[in-house]
Amino acid sequence: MRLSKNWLEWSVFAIGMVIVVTAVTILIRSAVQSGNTPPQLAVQLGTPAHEQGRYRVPVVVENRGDITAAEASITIELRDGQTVVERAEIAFLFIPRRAKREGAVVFTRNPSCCELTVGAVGFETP
Amino acid sequence: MLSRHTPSSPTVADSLREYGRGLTGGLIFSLPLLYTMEVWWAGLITRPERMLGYLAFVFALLLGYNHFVGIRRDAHRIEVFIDSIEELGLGVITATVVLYLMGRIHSHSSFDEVVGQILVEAGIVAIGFSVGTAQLGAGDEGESGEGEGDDNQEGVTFGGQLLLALCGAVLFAANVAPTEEIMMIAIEATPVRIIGLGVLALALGACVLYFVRFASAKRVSRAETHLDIVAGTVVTYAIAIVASAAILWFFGRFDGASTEFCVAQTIVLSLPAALGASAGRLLLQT
Repeated sequence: MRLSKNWLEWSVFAIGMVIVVTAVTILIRSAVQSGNTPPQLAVQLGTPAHEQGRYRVPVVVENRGDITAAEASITIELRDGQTVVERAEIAFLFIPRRAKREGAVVFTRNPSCCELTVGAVGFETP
Repeated sequence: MLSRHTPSSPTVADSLREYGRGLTGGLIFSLPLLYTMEVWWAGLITRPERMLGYLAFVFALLLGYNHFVGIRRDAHRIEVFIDSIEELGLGVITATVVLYLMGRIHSHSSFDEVVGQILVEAGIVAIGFSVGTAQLGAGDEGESGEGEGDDNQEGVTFGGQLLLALCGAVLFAANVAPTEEIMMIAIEATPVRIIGLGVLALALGACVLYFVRFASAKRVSRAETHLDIVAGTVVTYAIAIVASAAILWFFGRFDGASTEFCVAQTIVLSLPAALGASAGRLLLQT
């Protein structure tokens, strides 16, 4: 049984072998290591920027859980003590496990007057 | 004097041509799915265990297809394995390039996102490579395969035909399964109509196999008796059902769904799958 292949074909096979073995290794490691913890969304608010009479607050959301969050919706609130002065919502289609997504909310009031907090968060576990 | 190549090894130019055919065919078959966002999402959502199962299934399909229909039909098992590995590897590379150009993967995407999206698409491109190389090369291959492989030319084995039917069913069904239309139809159509879709699928399968004058219909389906026709149609439809169920399960359409809903979706998807299965047996066979 003699395989008639030239150097190009052997190279492609070698590269293919490396790729396949790497992919399988990555998947096996991922399967063994990752548990089943539900999505845990950690929200980071950036410094408000004054733009065109409104105030833009950057938002970065990180999913620290093992499961992807779908249709994630995050509420950002401007609070003065117990009163909610203004509320904004931001929605993300997917926040995969251990991934970050960025966005922004825009308030009409100046956030420096009050406290910026993260309100209720909702998502779907597909 | 040592020569660089064994007498029958192809030149580099030949190999490049073959890979080019594979790439073209691969993209022809897989581009619709590369441009489908539900498939990208599947890459984001699918758990690693399911992804491993998916890759195993794709690899098994590649092995089977390359063995029965592949480029060199007199191939030893090692060559079939080598070809399948090459196709999977090239599938990964192609998927990476296309996904990057489409902006689906960036330098700031997470590792899991990138790997997931690439692997889901790579499996599809790999199947396309396999089918494409065989299809686009039919008649062009001057390799010894044509002559020596003739002893099993008279009817690929039954197992081989089943595998071709499965490949065809998967190709057709996978193109419509990821999007929501299958679910919508299953939800909104009445059970009677869904059964009607199943009957239509059966009937079309029978038609394609035995009565429509497809290129090599006579060679594949030697219908001796009416029983043969019935048996062949039923078997082909069974493969369509299996393929539909497997694909729907992979895309998570069975998760938390009632049995009735799962069955409904499977029957709805079985129409394109059955067309693929019966046409697949005829067309995918060179």
